[in-house]
Amino acid sequence: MGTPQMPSRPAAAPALPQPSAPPKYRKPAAGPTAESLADRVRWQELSEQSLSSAQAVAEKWRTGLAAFVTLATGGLLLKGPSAASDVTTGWRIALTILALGGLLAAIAGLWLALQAAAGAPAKLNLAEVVAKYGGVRQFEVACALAVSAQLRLARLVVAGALLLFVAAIGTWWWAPSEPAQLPALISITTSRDTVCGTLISGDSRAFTVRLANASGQVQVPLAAATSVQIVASCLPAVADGLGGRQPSAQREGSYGAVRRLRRRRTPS
Amino acid sequence: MAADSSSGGSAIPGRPAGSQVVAYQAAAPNAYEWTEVAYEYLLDGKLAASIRTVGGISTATVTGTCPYCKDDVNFSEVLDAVTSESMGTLSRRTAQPIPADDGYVPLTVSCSCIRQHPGRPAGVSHGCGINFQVEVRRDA
Repeated sequence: MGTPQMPSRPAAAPALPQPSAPPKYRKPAAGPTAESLADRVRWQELSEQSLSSAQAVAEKWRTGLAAFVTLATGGLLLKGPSAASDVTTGWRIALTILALGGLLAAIAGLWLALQAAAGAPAKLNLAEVVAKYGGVRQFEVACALAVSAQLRLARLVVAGALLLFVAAIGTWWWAPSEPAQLPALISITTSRDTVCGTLISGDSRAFTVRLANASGQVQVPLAAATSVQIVASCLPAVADGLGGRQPSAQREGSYGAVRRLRRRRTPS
Repeated sequence: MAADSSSGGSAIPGRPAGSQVVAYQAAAPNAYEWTEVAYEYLLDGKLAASIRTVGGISTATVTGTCPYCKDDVNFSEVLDAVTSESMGTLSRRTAQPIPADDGYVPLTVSCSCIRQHPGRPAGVSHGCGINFQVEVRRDA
């Protein structure tokens, strides 16, 4: 019995030639020119001015964004603060969310813009700066990049705030007003005086009125009424719109009626 | 290529071999021969160029032997800057094609040695006058 033969391993596939990495240096096709030297000088100046340039731009943007926010919030005040209470509850909730969201976003955006423009004092260490950024000039460029990023974020946030404000203004303009409360008071004029109050009931014989300025109810016979009006208020100056100048009999209003009709008063 | 053939420099005792006092190069400061010698120096290791990116800021450095005066070249350039106008804004206006980035960054290098070179103009405190071009890979 022969020694079992182990199956021979397949021959290893020939290694594929690895793609050679491109050389680190390449021979330039031409030497420097006066233009390339001038460009280098200008680029160095540009790089050195990065931080001051970015902060100056951020300052201008901050002023402009604040003006936009002022314009938008001014539009919100066009209808006056009392108009917000005129819209229905659902629309008022939407209006509140939009306006408050816009306000918060505007505050955050302007804060970011202010931070980008003004920066914040901080303690630095030269060794740490050099270790982290490679040099002071590189650190200045990194600061300018951070300012640029903050300003970009501020612009986005304020743009969102402006959209919210515009939506709030549009909502306010188009929100349906709450239906005005109908006047629920009745003024009954008889040949002797006027009774004003809340109408409790009325039938073919008499009106029953709860007096506005006194407790209890009075009944006014239908035959005695010379005029019946629905009024918004029983106060004489407001009720007739005469600015306080009214006939004495009308100014007497329900007060006289309380006295004169008390004998017909019904138990309440 | 013999960069020193036209310099007319003379060896100074006590200085490293090859270190010579050469005249300030005013006749042909941007001659292609300095670029060619610099490329040979890069391949020989006498000159080194690199691009280092730290904190998002790229800095190019070239150090080693000057192709002309053989003094030390210590060149550094920050390759990033922040401006009020972006390249995107400008490209929308000009709509010019941008050449493909092949990974090599061209650098215009000036010798900034501090040794004295006869003929150096007044107001210039350093350098032997030459400028040369180097192209180095960004990720090298």
